[in-house]
Amino acid sequence: MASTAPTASIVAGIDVGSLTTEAALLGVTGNGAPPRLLGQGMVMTGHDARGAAEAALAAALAQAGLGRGDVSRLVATGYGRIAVTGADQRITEITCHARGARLLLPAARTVIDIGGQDSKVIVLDAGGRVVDFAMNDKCAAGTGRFLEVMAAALGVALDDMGRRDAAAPGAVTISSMCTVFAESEVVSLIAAQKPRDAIIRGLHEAVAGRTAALCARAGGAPPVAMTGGVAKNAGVVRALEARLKTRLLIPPDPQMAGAIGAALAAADAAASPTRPAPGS
Amino acid sequence: MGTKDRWAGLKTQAQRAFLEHLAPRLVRSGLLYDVLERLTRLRQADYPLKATAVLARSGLLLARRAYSRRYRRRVVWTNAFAPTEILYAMDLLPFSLEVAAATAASLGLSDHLLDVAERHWYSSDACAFHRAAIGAALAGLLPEPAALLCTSHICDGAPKAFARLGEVAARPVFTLDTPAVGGASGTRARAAAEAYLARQIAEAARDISRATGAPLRPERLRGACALSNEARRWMLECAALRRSRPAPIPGGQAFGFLFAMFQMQGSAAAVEVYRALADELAARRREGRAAVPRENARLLWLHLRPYYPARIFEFLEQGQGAVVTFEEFSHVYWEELDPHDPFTSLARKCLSHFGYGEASRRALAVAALAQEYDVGGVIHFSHWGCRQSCGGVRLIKDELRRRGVPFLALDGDCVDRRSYAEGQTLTRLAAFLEMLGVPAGSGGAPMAARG
Amino acid sequence: MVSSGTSRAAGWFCALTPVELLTAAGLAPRRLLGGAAPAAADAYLTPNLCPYVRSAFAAALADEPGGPARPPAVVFTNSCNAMIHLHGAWTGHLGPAFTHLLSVPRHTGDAATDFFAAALGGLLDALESFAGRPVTDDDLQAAMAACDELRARLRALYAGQVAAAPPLSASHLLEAARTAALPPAAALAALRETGCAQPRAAPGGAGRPHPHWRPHRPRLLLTGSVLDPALVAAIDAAAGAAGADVVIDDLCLGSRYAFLGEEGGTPGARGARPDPPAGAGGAGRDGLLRRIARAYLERPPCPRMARGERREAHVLGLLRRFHCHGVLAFALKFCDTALYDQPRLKTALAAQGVPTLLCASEYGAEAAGQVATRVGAFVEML
Repeated sequence: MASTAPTASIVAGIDVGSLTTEAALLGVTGNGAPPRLLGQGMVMTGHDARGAAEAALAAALAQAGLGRGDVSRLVATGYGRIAVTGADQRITEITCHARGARLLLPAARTVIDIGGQDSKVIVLDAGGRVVDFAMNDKCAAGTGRFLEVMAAALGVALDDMGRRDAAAPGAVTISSMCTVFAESEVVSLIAAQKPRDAIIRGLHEAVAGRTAALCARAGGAPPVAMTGGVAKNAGVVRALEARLKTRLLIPPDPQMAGAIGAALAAADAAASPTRPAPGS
Repeated sequence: MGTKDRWAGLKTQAQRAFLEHLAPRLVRSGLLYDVLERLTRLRQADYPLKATAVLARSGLLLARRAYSRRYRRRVVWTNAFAPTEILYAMDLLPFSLEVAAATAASLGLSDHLLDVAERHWYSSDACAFHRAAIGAALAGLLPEPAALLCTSHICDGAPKAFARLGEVAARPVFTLDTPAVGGASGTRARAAAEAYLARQIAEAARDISRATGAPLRPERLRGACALSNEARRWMLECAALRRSRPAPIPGGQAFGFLFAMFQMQGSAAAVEVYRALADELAARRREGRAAVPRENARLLWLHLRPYYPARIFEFLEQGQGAVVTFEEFSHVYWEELDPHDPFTSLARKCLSHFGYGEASRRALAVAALAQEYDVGGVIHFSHWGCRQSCGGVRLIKDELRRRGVPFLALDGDCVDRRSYAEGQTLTRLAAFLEMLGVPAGSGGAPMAARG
Repeated sequence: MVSSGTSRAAGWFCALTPVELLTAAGLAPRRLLGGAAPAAADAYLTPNLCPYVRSAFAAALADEPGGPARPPAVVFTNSCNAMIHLHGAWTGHLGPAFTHLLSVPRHTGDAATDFFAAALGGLLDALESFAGRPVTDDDLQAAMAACDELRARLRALYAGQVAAAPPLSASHLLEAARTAALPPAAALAALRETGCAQPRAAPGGAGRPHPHWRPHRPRLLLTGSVLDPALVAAIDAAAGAAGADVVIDDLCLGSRYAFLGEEGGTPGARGARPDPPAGAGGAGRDGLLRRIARAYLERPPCPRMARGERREAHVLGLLRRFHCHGVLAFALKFCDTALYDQPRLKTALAAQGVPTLLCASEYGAEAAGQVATRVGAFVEML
């Protein structure tokens, strides 16, 4: 990611999620040009949010060929934002995901983020500001965790779920609302010799259903962007597109949206120190 | 098992023993109230508002009397909207069970009470206020009542819970059936509803008088209505003073006064409490003293709040300068009572509650309050199991959206702290404030490093 | 009376809605029973609310204005907070031509009857404006007579359950009740065709007794408020497989709709004199409305009504009359009324030596799965 234009300052955003931690480095030119992504890093959060934040940032810096001292401002977001040392500001992941998604997909009016352990829908106005949001962080159903548990029950690699959905002859309906009960249901379906791929498709339908309901509650309307790890699952994407009756806009690195949004917030403050914080 | 585990186990056993054996006796001991009253007087300066000290003293006196032998046959268990005026007119003591549940939660007792209720088959889908009240009744922690008085508004869980409570206490229950009439309903239906409810109130008053032996005298009824009207005037004064910019007191401190709203209408004590609050608000306005050093946002709060320790208001108000300028339940929605026609005017008061009946009533009332208090956002605390309030959230949100006012529905439980997730709750609040343009706290995220 | 072919449909939900008024106004009453997955309603109503209410709203959302689930006129009652919110959401988001929130008293007696009669007057006035024509006393009386006749036929069907060998299934009873809730002309025609007569001989279709039926199997009462037909069928099947029969129901949609046990107290009962007129609006109308008001308030009580003892007495009466050995109490999730009523009923019945199974369920097909094990275990226990 070599840069040719002069960079006025380098800012960083770190998104400490319950499953993964991402870091993004932006170069701000200060002359009105959009910031450039210089480097990014991602690690598993594990038990040490502070350590994970440092590791993700180090990876991003290494990719950009920069050092910690080059970073003029750092904004932390995500569930573990409090644990990030040296953060100049802490902003919620709702605001950051919205900003990040908006940079990557400027047309988006709704952002659906399905992460490891939570899911959220963020509604934006024409100017990209957050006007409403709805979250599910109490229940594993409809999150990446649900798919993780089911993949284990099926004996299938989590990364393979999306591909196998495409080969499914149809979908087996999963009726349980709860992850624990759904797992038992999947085990029974396997015992009843139902095709694994059809079960997988049924699970993706279930996740899509929960997400669509959340979206309706928040009042989300197209164009809809999708971020978070589950956006890489083609099966869920397809099922969700069918439910919402719209194509989903998905950035190449859907998990980076939060960190990028945090870095953008850092860029705002770095570009003009007296300017008010994001969201104003 | 290590020493630490053994100690924790002993602590739990001690707590349980205390709650099951000592607490019912302690709560009936005059000595407890002597101590608490002394503490209140000594710690007066610690109260954020002088009026809070007045409120605390009134509350303690009420509790002391309710549990004392002298008032043995003079306590009546009530729900939040029961017309307490008729009880004060007979020198009876209303004991509001939702207030009791809230108090138990603030003392950290609600876990135990909810457990007791659950052991008796009360599903955790029902409102925790009522479950905790039933638990408290089963645990012998409530003062023995002579009767129970409740209204079917604004929630229909209340009369059902009260029917069960009446069985636990083995006392008669008087249920005032409030028709859902108002707003769009025709005049004839409204008049019929008033007559129906007035008749019920009159009969209940008579029957309670008989059950307790307390005489019901017209002049005392007039007096109670007059006192209710006087307190109402002071409530209106307080409501008007709280419209100032910047807000004179934080919502977190104002919430406690709902105790008087639900428990004390028709008594001289309510007049004292609200007059003290009005005086203090006026003084603060004169002196230019604001609720918080920098008012970054003005909010309106709907429904109730967690009563166990939770840092919601601390985070919003002291932390972020987002002041809750007013709360829904402090809104004076009724006309002055006519002391010469007490039952009809009390019926009118019940019927005019904007939270019951056509759901649009509440949406419009909330929108009007949002405008009056010039708020930048409205927060609805969606108490689990409270179907009367949560069901209409979408209509409120839409009405506010039409007027450009941002809205947040915050899920939670007012009484059951086991379902409270502080990090998640504060994240939602922080995101909402970010939406409103309140500058995010730098480095000062709501949670200090806690274990 | 205008036939259902040309009159506009008026939807209703709660059995406390006097359908006589809808018929008298020339509308075609249609009971709205939901049927769509409740989740679609969650954007408008809170998820932890009565699944029947949410299902009905979801069905309306999915339908065109004027369609079967979304009629041009809808009448709601203040039976519970969920129903009040359904009124709010329906009026606010679906905007039909006519909605009305009817207040139904929780008490019985003179004061309640006076009020309810006035509330019915308000509803009738509104219906007249909507229908565009006045409702005469004759219209009212004809409607009362027609509804009474339907209920009487339904009660005759129920009465047969006392000695019927084999007894009809609960599904059959409820299907007959649903038919009886159609606009009178259509209902009478349908009942003549399908079913009050000789249903046991009818081949195939819903409601046949279990294939392994024998005399002296345990007889059960099914109580609750509104239950999805698929769930009732599952209950029938589960009970049958376990060796028992559900012979009688105590549901809004079934025996309570039929005014079972209150033959003399129905609105159109012959020989009953209209109450003295209470006020303006025509000497006869007030009396007729009072009769309807009193009949509805004093009929077999549902759990929402105030006095619990009346409920126990009624359920015990049914148990005795239909020789039942046990009770299946099915509540909808998040129904506050049932949450408080059913444990109490269970205790009261236990004191009389009658065992009760308590179950809470969703509204819709998914609920059926959980039923079999519970009902089976309960029957084994008997």
